[in-house]
Amino acid sequence: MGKNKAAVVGGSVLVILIIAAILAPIIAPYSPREMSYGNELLPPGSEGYLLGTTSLAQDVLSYVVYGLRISLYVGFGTLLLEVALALTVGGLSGYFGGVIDELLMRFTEIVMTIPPIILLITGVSMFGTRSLEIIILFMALVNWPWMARVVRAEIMSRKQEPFIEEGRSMGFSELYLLVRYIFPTVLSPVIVLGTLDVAWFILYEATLSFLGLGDPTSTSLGILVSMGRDVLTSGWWVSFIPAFLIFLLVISLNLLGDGLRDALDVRENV
Amino acid sequence: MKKKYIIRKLLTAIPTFLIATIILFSLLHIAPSGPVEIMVRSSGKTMDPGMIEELRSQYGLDKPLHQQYFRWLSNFFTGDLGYSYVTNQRLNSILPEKILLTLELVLVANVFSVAFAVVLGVIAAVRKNSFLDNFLSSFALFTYSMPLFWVGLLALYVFSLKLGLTPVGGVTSLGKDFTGFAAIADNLYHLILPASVLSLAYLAYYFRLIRSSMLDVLNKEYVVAARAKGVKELAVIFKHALRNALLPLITLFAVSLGFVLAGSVVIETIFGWPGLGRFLVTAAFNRDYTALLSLNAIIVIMVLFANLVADIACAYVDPRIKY
Repeated sequence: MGKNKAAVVGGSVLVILIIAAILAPIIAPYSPREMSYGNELLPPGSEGYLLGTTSLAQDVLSYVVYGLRISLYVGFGTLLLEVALALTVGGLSGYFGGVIDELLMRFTEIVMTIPPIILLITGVSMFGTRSLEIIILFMALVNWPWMARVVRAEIMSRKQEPFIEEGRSMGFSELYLLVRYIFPTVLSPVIVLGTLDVAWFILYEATLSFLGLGDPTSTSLGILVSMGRDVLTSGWWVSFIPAFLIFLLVISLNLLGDGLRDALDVRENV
Repeated sequence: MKKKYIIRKLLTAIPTFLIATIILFSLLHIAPSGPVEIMVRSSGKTMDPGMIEELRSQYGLDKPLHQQYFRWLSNFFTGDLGYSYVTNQRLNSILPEKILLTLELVLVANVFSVAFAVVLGVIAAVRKNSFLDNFLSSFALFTYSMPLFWVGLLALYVFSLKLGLTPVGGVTSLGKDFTGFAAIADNLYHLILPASVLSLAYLAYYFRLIRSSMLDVLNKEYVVAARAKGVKELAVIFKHALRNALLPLITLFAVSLGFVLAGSVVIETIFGWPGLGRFLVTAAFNRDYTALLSLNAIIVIMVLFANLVADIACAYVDPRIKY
């Protein structure tokens, strides 16, 4: 399968999942955490419970479509914040160079010495009430350095190109050149990296929730997987269905990101 | 010359360590409630504000933040890692064993995954776009995209619960006093499943790195030149290409330590492996300040050490690096 085809498949699966998340209230037969006593651990295909029920008699289908919303919200929400941070730090560093660059890049390297998941667990744990927004905030705070470095490198190589010099000599303002000519070239690598990062964010949030360090009031897919952990033999579907959805989200984003890398001709950045 | 280079690298690690721990320290102190309040809450008792104040001063928590930081720092470097507020144990007495357990798990997983990744990565790159390459690359993408906790649960379900081949968790069999060789065998029996799951995750990650690094090198002029002058294909691959492809990977392996530790956090939790990762999760769950700070500091030191080793290794392997 060619990369483009794979990317199209990835993109389509992603779109379907996004539509399912948007239509959650229509798809879900019950409210996501409604318990109907007497219907505990029904297998998938049971009447009225297409994907089965949990040990608390919650409908798995209703739970997971709302869970998709959480994953997508967290994934794309973090992306916005990450891009804002990375463009600011990477932009300042790359454009001004000199001492500012030196300081910002030293700081970036220091943040990178603490492994993201460790920093994330430590940071998030300090809050007694962990809302999704706090998780988003910390995921962006631990992940921006990688993107900032790409932005910086791109801007550094762009600002020296002859057409920028020419623009300067023609009397265009620096701000105009920056917004009109320099930032657009940064866009391609940011889109590619961003797509792959959303996959990471979704995985991170699910992992946090699985470990019991997520937002306990949310309908996170990770929480459902962790609930299913206790009934692995008697109710495999409780953990496997939400885990499979996370996998679908992540692989479709990875396929899309890889395809975009080829399409936008961004050099491989291992 | 090399000595100077190593010393310079060592010296730059010091400010990095200080700033990283200051960041962590501040992070731990922006929380709305302090360790004493958490202790009180976790004990389930109520305490009057006077008692809380007393406890705070007993632990030195009423001092200004910078004093608290320096106290922690000087203790850390004199080998006193502090006191876990939650388990009521000295970290010095519990951490070393946990570090060893994590190292055991992570090293075994890494040895297997790196060995397989090099072989498979080279094959995939040399036979680019062949059926085998497509199969391996798709398999890697698949594994890479699977949440690790899911792979862990799947393995637990199939091998431990359904087939009964492996234990469901822990490091040794409880209630059995094995000695000598039997103890080691028992430990390995417990290690095999978590280590296999972990190496599968690492394998996918390393495979992608090695394949793309190898593809880069195979297009280089010196490889084309070697082929043109009639060097045997195997020699081209192993002597000319692979050696150069592994160079950037030395640094990458050091950077991958974060990925490696992340994997071990999840796997240790699922398989009840009482190492650093599981301790981190427990400490985070209980907001165990000192434990978190000292644990993070140890991890930062591990990362800095790995980077240093990678820098030195690169300097020895690659004559182009200037000192």
